[in-house]
Amino acid sequence: MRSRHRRISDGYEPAAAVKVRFTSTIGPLTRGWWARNSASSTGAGLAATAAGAALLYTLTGFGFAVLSITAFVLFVDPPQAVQLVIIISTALSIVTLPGLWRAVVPALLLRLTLGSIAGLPLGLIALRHADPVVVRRLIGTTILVFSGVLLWVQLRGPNRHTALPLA
Amino acid sequence: MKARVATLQSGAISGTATALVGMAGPPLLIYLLLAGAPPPTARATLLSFFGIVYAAALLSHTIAVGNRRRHLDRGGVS
Repeated sequence: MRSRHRRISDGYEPAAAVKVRFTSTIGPLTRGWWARNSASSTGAGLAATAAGAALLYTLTGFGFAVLSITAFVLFVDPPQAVQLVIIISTALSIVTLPGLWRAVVPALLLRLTLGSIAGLPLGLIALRHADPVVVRRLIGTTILVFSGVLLWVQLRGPNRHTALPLA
Repeated sequence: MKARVATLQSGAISGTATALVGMAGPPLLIYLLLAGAPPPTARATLLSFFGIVYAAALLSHTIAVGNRRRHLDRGGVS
């Protein structure tokens, strides 16, 4: 059982980190079973996370990516976790889109889309060449920084003097 | 003019975040809150932007990154 001695902090194999900790607590009784069924247990973890995040999404309307990426990254590598989130989010937004078009400000949406088309290649290049460990840390940092800023904005409220007029 | 640049900038940050960490919402939500957008407009803008940016990200990921299975195949316990 070489895997028992593997370091928990081995960032390249997030699935291994979860499994090693689990096997060592359950003990030798289940070790053989766990080794045989490790692939399906990863799938079960992913499915449970997706179900929980989708429940939050239906309640609030957003927050799927923020909730699911944090848990996905424990089970699979960052590129795969990001792709899973992108695929599920695309499907979710297709479901929620009808009925929203009336409230949209077209000029605002157009500029946001143009900006995002400029920004997408940057993220793609970074993801393609960055170390998986760095991307995992970046995911955590992004969530912490954005939630901090969001809290600050909520407490402060829209400032009359520096408020950005829409579109 | 200043607001147009700010909108483009927040779109760019959101696009980068989508491709890199899969989260499109936070930058845009902060921008909309700072701009003092009314809740229905903010909600409609967010959700329709999600539709566009995630579809674009899915397309570009398929082309540029592909699905690298090497870490998953190796499994954890061997």
